[in-house]
Amino acid sequence: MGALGKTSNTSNLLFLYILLAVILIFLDSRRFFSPIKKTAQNVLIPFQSSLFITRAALFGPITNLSSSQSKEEEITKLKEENAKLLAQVTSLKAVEEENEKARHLLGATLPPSWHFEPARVVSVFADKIFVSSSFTPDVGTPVVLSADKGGVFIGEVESIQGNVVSVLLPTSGLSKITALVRDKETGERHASGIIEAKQGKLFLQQVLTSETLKEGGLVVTGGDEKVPPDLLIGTIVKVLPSTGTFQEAEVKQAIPPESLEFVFFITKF
Amino acid sequence: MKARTFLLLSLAFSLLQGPFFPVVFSEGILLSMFASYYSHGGLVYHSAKRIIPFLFLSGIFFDFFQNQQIGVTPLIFIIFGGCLFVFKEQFPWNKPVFLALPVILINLVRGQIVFGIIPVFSAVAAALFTIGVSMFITRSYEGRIGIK
Repeated sequence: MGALGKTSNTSNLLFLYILLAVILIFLDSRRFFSPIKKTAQNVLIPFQSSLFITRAALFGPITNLSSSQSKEEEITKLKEENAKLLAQVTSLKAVEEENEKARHLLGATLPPSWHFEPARVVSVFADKIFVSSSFTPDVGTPVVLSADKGGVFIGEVESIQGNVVSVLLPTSGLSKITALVRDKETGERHASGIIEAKQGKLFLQQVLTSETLKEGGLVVTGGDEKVPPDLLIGTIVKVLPSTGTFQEAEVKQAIPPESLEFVFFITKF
Repeated sequence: MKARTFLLLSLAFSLLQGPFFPVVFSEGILLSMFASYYSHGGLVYHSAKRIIPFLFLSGIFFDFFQNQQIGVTPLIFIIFGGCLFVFKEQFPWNKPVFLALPVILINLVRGQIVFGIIPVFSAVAAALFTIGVSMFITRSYEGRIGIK
């Protein structure tokens, strides 16, 4: 009888705490704890940020050492690509100037310049990064690597809690981005599709078999009402065999999120 | 591992996981060590009132300091506590290899539910760490740390 009573007491206690946990989940979903969380985050952000920097300083050299040879090869390759890109930029600038002059001649208004707000990366959580900023972006605001027109796409704002903004990376299963494939050399458009993640890897999907997919092709944002076009997402590393109407390719992210220290919200484009 | 140590380590790791350590890592280790200490000699049966509040508080720490939805991790930890009572006699807590099983399970479940990831690498690393610690360093059920 005694043992039975104790088992029943334990069950009651477990049930009570499960109920309490469910109540907490409900209250937090109603943002009941937001003020407390906001205050705590204000105190914790500098601490977590310094920890993040320390980790990068501690483990960065180890990672670099282990892959120094491949890094050297990568640097040479990047230098070559950079030279090619510079050549392209020069020709593009010439076209841009010509375009601007033509617009003035026609009396057409110039497109508004892009606006950016900086944010510091606090931590990287699998397929999300947490950044802190005095600016409060809207959900869905695009996040890029640098405050330049174009640039590298990092992700989209998922949620905001006080000064901490959660940014959903393209490697998240929840993320879907319309994308274009451009030729690495000429910038010519080759294909369009949707970037989705499977087990942390990026895949360009729903590309018509009539379109061309090549390894090394640049994958950029297709552009919609929230995300501007032609932000670099990554490069095609493997074209997968097509099944039916569509073909698919594996995409390597342009920048590993662990290496980020600062990012920028695009507030206007 | 005593309740106070368990809580202190939960607090410390909840602050360090994400900015410094992998986002899911220590929770399985802490829970397993805590359970093994209270399971030894059937202590767990008599100590429900003592253990469950600590599991709950530890979960709150992880959710709060990792800026996640409060209540989810306590729920996972309490359900683990429930399983602990159900299998208190069948589960060989004193065998290091068996101690690693809940570590993997807790890390995978929390990773999937809270962060939407399956942290296989950190779960296996945590399990190996637990086996190493319980085989060579600690006697967690004796409430002290020492070389065996």
